[in-house]
Amino acid sequence: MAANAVKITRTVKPLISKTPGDARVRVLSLYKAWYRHIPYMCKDFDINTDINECRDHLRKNFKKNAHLKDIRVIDMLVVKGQQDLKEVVEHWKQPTHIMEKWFVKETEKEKPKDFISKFLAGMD
Amino acid sequence: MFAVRGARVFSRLAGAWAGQMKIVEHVPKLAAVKLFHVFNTAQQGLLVKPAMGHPAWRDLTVVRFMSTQGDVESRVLNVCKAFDKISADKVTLNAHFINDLGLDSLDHVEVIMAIEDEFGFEIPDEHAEKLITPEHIVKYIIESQDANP
Repeated sequence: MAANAVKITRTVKPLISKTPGDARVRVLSLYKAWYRHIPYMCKDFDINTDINECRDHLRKNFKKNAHLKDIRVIDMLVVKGQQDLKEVVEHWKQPTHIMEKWFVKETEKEKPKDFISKFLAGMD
Repeated sequence: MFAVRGARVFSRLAGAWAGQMKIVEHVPKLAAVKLFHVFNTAQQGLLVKPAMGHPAWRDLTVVRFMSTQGDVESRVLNVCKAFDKISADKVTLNAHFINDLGLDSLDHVEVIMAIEDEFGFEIPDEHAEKLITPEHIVKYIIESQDANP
């Protein structure tokens, strides 16, 4: 049964790009635009982390989605990235938004683990 | 009185400057950031200070001569060597960024950005993804210099 399994494909309407090459160019343009904007972002929003750390973070976020193959999903993520970039460029975001999205580890408060800290924090 | 004197001084300077006009060529107005960057890095031959007393803003014209192939090659290789993810001894003209030098596609984009910064002009993305060895980059730069003198 498994040996005779046929790969089922469907034809679907494209979101924006029609070929993987197209999608790739869009992803790399987005990376370039963000990379160039990061120094300005750190200056505008007064973010004290090193610029290279921000760039590493950018690269990690891009790599997180590197395994995707569906062009429509890639397109959608690129559009979301572009929206994000627009919001940062136009200063519609605030520093808190950027910190929570990019540097979550630094801003997260540790959750209490032992009984007495949990009690004091009000957790049952 | 002052205006007359100022005018005479200005015309003297302008005359001296006009003498320099032969070698200095006004490039199309680049974005302020880029022009400033070009001015600051003072690459070999890219910015020439005429040896005469004049205010600093007079120096904002950039000399653009036809770079020779050797020039362009050495600059491209220097950029590649300065890139921290590439080991300097592996860089040759035909070293493939991804196969030989072990970069990935995001690193490749960063290298192209460094080249853009060095030469002061934008490389559109459809062309950028085809430039996968320093040889290609050198050819592309010379071609685009021929197209936009």
